[in-house]
Order: sequence, then structure tokens, then C-alpha cells
Amino acid sequence: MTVIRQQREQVLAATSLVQLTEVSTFDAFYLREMPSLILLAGALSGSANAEDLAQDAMLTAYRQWREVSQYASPVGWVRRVCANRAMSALRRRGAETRALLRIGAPPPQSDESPAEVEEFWAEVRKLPRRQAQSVALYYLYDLTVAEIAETLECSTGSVKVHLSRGRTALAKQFGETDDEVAP
Amino acid sequence: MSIDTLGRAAAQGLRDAQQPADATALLRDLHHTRRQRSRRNVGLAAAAAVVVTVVGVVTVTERADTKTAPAINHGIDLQYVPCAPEPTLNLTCVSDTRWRFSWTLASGSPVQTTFVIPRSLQAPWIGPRVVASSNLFFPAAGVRDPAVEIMYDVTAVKVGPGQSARTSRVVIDHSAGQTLASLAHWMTHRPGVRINRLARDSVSGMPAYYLDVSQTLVGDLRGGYGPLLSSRGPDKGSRHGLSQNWFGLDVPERAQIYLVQLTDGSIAAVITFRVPSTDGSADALIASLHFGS
Repeated sequence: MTVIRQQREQVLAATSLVQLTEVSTFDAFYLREMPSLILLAGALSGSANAEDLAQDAMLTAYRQWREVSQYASPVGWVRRVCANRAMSALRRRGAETRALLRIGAPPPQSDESPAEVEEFWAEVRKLPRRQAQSVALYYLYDLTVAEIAETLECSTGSVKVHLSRGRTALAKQFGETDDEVAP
Repeated sequence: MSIDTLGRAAAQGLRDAQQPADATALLRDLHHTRRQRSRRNVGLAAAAAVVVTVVGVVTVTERADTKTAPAINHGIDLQYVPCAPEPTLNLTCVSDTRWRFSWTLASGSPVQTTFVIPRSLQAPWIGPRVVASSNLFFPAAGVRDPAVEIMYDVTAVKVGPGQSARTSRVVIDHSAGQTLASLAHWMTHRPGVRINRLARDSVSGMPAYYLDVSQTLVGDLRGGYGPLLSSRGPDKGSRHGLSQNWFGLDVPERAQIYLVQLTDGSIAAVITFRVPSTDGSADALIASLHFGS
């Protein structure tokens, strides 16, 4: 059992308790998905404000909840929003860091994580947008190619290409072997 | 070890390193934020109604200057200072957002340039750390792209002998030549630089080249990109391992560059960054800048 599933079960247990007090379906959705959404935001943005990014995505979901809740996969939708915002934040931070370096201020620091973990995700963040998102969803959530395609609203063929290229680039960077991705 | 093993270990490491989120408290914050925004929207709607009413009876001929500088909120203690005279740099202010610089070329001839920065942009100045030959302007709402950088008296640069982009010691690349055309075409042959568009143009009547460029080489801010342009201004130096006034492209940045030949023959570069820039807003931003002597 993965830690994510454990977390989900814990949150679901907490959620079921909260549901007794008649919170909305959104609240239940929020409590269930927020921890893993923060994880995704952190992985893709490398930012200390992963919580804010995830919160923004959830706020967007809340505003459109009547519509989003009818989607086949509301969680896929909010993950896509979060992944896009995280990548945008990363790019903004890139411009900011370069600017700060130019004008002599220290660049912003990323989260404190073990060096090897941070190194891996730092390399993921250097990948092109779709590749980075595909790789993050693949490793963080153990999603299949079809589930990633549904989340990112693209074809499974595209995801296979993104995953393959992303993993090949990472393998080259780390001097590892690249296994085939199971569909 | 396969990349899958590494990836899954890194995912697990990230989960382990993650601080446990108090989802209930965050949910409470979300509802609080939503209520605040709802109230603000109602307030704005009411204010807009008042403004519409006032505009209906009053003809506004000129918008008043904004004298208060909004705080830039990006986690770093940058402070915006409206244009202030700086005698050592021969900086004078036409207004809060209208800047006039003069600088002296190696030949000794002073050059003056005036440019107008849109009201939505502000410059990050940190106390005395005023950069004379390269000025960077960010949107007032925060450090976000697109930003505008203006570099005076630019020349092509490359990594110095025995150095790397990481150490950022740059030297002039004499192979680029010193004409506007040769400099523009030199950029088309830089490693990893993709030219999305290259065109002759003019800015305020001065000859110019327009380049829409992006970087294709993977790298990071300190090590991956190579220098392209640098200013030959008086503020050469190195801070944090990077020369403070050279320009290079990071992945996946895209930039619009105007190389403008000023009246004294020197070349200025006006650069906007936007990642990615596909909506034309960076072009619109550049179009709103004005050069003049």
C-alpha cells in the first residue's frame, strides 16, 4: 500500500466524520485530494508555496464546482489546473531568479528536501512542460498512461511520447537505464 | 538502477519530506478567501457603478500620476523607488515613469536616451545598487513576466577562455561584428538559440532589428545558458557568479529583442521576457516603449 493510499484512507476516515456534520461534497473532495495536490504542486514548482498553488487550484474548482463535480474525473481536472499553475509559477520564478541574480539579490531557495530527492525533481522541472507533468503524475500518483492522458486532456499516444522522452532525458542525466512504460 | 526505481524513490522521498498539511485549516482558509473575494467583488461592482456615473458627467482629460508605489510581493525584499535623480549616473527624471539616462561610451562621447515605461511597470532598485547600463522593469503587481530589460551599448559576448557559463566570466565575441545587422545575424547562430522571427524594423525612427528567440538547450539558471549580449557600461562586475549585466536565455524562456541603433551609432537592446510568449503581449509592451534623444 502506498503512502498516498494510506493518507487517502486517513483523510477519508476524517472526511466521513466530517460528513456527519453535513459538509458539502466539495469539502469532502477537498479534504480527500488536497494533500496529494500539494505534493504535485511542490514537485512541479519546486516552490515553498506549494500549498498556495494547490489552494488556488482548489479555489478555482470551488468556483466552478457545480460544473466540475459533474465531470468524469473532478480530481483529474483539479490536478491539471494545479499542474499548469505549478509550471507557470516555476517559470515566473525562473524569470524572477534571473532578474534577482542580475541585480544582486540572493535567489529564492527551494524547499528543504533530501539532496537526491531535490536533484531528481529539479531535473524533472527542467523538462518541457508536458513531459514534466506526465513524469510527475506517473511517479507521484502511480497513474497509468490512460489516466495521465485523461488528466492532461491529451491522447495516450502523446502521453507515451512525453513519458518516454522525459524518462530518457532523466535517465541520461542520472546515468540510469530507461525501462519501458507500461500502458 | 533503473530510472523508474529512482523516480519512485524520489516520489517517496518527496512524500516523506512533505510537512503534513492541515487540510481542515486550509479548507477553512479557502472558504474565508472566497467570502472575502465575494465581498470585494460586490464592492468593486458598486465602485464601478459610481465611476460610470461620474464619468458620465465629467470629462477626464488627463489621468493623475500615481504617486504611491505598491509593494512588490515576491518573497524577496525588493523595494520599488520611483524615478529619482542619480547624479553619479546622470539619471534625471522627467516624471515618475519617464526616465532619462546618459552614459559615456568608451570614446568619451556622452549619449542621452529617454524612454517611457508604461505605468504598469516599475523598476526594482535596491538602495544604491543602481545598474547604470542595464535596467530591468517589472509589472507593478509583482515580479512576473513579461518584464522589460533595457541594455545600453550592447555587444556580443561569449564565455571567456577557461571559464564556463556557471562562472559567467564573459568576454566580447569579436566575431559578431559591431553593426546592427551583424549582431542580429550572429545571434541566429548561437548554440541552442532558436530564432522564431527575425526582421528589420525601426524604433522611434531609428534602425532596429526585431528578434523573437527561444532557447532549446536544457540547462539551469546558473549553468545551462550561455551569454548572448552584454553592456559595455561602467558597471561591469560579478555578483553571485553572474555578471550582472549580461543577457542569456534560459529554458524554456522566449524573449522578444529589439536591437536599436541609437544616434551615436551604439546599439541598445530592449528585451521582454515571457515564458512562453505566444500571445503578443510582449510585443505590445515593446511597442509602448519610446526611445528618443
